[in-house]
Amino acid sequence: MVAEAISDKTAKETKTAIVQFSADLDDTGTLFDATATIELVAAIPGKKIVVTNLNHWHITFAGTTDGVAVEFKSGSTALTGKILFSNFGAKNTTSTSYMPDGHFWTSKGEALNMTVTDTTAGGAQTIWVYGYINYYEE
Amino acid sequence: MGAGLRDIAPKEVYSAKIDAAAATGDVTVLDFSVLHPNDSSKKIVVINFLYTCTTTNPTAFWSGSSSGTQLTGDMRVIANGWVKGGYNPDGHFKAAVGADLVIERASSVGVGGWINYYLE
Repeated sequence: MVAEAISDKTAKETKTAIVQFSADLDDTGTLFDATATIELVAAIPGKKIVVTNLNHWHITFAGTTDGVAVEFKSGSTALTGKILFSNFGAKNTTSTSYMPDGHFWTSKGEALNMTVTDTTAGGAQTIWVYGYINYYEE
Repeated sequence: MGAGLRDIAPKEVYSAKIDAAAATGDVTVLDFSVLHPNDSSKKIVVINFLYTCTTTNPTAFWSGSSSGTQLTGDMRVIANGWVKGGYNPDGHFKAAVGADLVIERASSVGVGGWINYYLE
């Protein structure tokens, strides 16, 4: 696959990375009390990871009508704010549109990470975040 | 004019996070003088964004501040719902020359996500 960016007309090789997170975050009943971070794309020496698409991105958790937040990070630096998911009908799914210049990108040589924060006030529960992203290196 | 249909000259595209806890008042999403101190003759053109809202209270984009020029209507979603503007190389909307880009919150709501833009 080749993406064409309005800021950079050179050909890119677009790749896919799976988003598949599952964890029982230890919720003690206090908001914003439990987080977990997973690596979506490992660091590439001297390269940025440019995310062009997030697809069929959904989260599932038990019980409450509260939210679970997702942040994307370059290493430990947040690239996005806390994006919230509710548990409507057991799933809340979205996709972004294709963004040839990248929705966001890491610093050179840093991994693309995703931090999941349990903002629910219920007891401990398993949270799943599934989907995939597309990205290129530059 | 933006890029795309009318202007295909290369643009430098920027990404910025949208991140504010629940409260009332303006969120300065893009502080022009901090982000682009040497480009005061240019304007922000928004080409892509996605953010979620913690409550059903509406949000709207403004140029400068919520006493400036309103760029969108009051956009209301369900709690934890999405406000999305897909890739539009010509720009969904643009701020005035040298102006900040602001999200107005007339009632308490938190916002989280990201935005893409260029200067012209």
